[in-house]
Amino acid sequence: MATSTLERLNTPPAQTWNYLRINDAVLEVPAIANDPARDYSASVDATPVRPDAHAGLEMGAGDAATAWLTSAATSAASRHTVRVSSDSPQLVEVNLSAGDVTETNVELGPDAEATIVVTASASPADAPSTTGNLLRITAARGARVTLAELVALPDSHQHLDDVGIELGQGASIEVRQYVLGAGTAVLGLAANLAGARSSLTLATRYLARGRERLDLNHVVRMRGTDTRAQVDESGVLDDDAEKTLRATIDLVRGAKGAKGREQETVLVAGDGVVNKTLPVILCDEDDVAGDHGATIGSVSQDQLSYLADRGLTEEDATELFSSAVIDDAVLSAPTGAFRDAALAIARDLLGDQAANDLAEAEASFEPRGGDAR
Amino acid sequence: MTDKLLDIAGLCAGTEDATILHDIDLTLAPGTTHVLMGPNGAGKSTLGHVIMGDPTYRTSAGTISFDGADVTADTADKRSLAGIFLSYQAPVEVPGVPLYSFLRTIAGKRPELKMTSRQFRARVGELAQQLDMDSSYLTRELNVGFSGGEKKKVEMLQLLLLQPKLAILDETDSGLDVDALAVVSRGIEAYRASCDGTLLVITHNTRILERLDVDRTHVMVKGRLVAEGGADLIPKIDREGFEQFEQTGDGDR
Repeated sequence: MATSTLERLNTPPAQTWNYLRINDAVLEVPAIANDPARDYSASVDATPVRPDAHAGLEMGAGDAATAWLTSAATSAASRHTVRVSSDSPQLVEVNLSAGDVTETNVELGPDAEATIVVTASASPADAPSTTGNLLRITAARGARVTLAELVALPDSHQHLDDVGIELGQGASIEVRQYVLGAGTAVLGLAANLAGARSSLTLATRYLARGRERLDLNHVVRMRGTDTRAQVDESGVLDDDAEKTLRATIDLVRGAKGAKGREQETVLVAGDGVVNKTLPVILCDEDDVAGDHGATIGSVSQDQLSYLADRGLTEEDATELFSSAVIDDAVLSAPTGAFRDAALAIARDLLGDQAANDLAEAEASFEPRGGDAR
Repeated sequence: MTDKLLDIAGLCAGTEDATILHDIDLTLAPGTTHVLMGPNGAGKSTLGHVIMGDPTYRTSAGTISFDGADVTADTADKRSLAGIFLSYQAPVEVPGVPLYSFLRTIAGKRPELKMTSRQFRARVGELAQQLDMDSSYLTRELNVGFSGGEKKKVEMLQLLLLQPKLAILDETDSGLDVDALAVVSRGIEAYRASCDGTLLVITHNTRILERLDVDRTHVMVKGRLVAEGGADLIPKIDREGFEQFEQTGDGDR
């Protein structure tokens, strides 16, 4: 199969020394192979993308990723624009199987509400492939968005995720990303909090093992006054897994009263793990607050003490954190496809009994944030 | 069964830099309810954490025996599995771990709580209902974004699930509104009723005690147990405060 190399992916706004090899990512991808007959799912009426509709919207994975994804998602069925008005909350569901690449634009009008769910999964029997998700979200005044993403691929597959978000006055978005498996996963997300009092919460949970490689880039531009951003990345790295995280909160001039916080927790469980983080707070305004916190390596002492007081040793605690990433994805699954993909990973890593228990628990208890089904 | 579930003798403990608890003697019989009161900074919470085996504190003298065994050198996880439970004043947030997974794991460490997955789900669902908790809490990350009252309910949920022999409640009533306090009080009553457990209630607020039959009241000042009495000591403290004990030094003990 012919391939091409995408360079300068996931580039953060502020660069650092090149020898750290953290300034960008590189990904080998198929040289545009798309099946126009494939039917990509979207649970709402959709119309074709206007090519210039979102020019200027910053995308998290960068220009090379956006260009490749746009080129790869060539069939009408793989490109959608969904417009949501205040009178009808929408579920936008993007289900990617091996080799699928989609481009989705979700435009929310004033006070509109949407839940967007992206699930990338494949069978170990599928030929190695690259899945891709290009997602643009624009939310007008007072709109509310929930975005849930799951990457649950065998390690013979890779995934490229490129998200751009723009929020108007008082608009809000809650993002939950789960990366449970992929040989290489590159996820970039950029959010422009343009409107006053707009807000973003972003929680990324991951489990990387074997020789899996995870590359994340989160960019939050806080432009509006009194905007709020809470970014929380946490996960477990085992075996020889590699993770790179770039997290930038940019407090732009004029964003008076803005508050941004980024918090990272990494549990290193394997001897061959490579863990790199570049947290950056850019500030060009006086009346703002931005901070970053990190716990890297092991479970924090406070948490260890609490768990010990409930009968868990440090080894038990590490096992709990690893399995909990998968549990969390299953228990918070907003759609059936999301749940099934997470359960497939649970079966593989935790065993049938644990997976069955999780499936029954998921059916018994209301998921966090509600069920979109 | 021993008539002393917890037996602390001559205990001195503190941090690396300072001794906080001085020569503590305290005995709790099975199935009894004890209250530990004292002014802020007296060392009440420290005693709770030392009994639990918190590695932050160092025991320099004395012994702690639990259920007939010397646990002075045991780690907190061993003491927990032996049947000691400490309810936190400020429960810790654990991002990434759903409450359901946490409960399943801590119950799974206790052979006496062995049950099928179906029985476990039914049990935690029933306990959540008893504590006025929506079942969606079970899928949320442990204590993350929970209000003070919600965190205390999660502590009560664990108490009722694990049914420890000894429950130390460290200012469980602090920061609760009237409704949450009523729910927590019901949880404590349910614990006592379900397993005849022993309670050590650390507080300086007597409202949480209104629904409890208190057997003994202990007063701690400056790291020393300075007074001990029956339940009638509580209204006296309510009326007159702790000044009487601070002034008398070692009180009426």
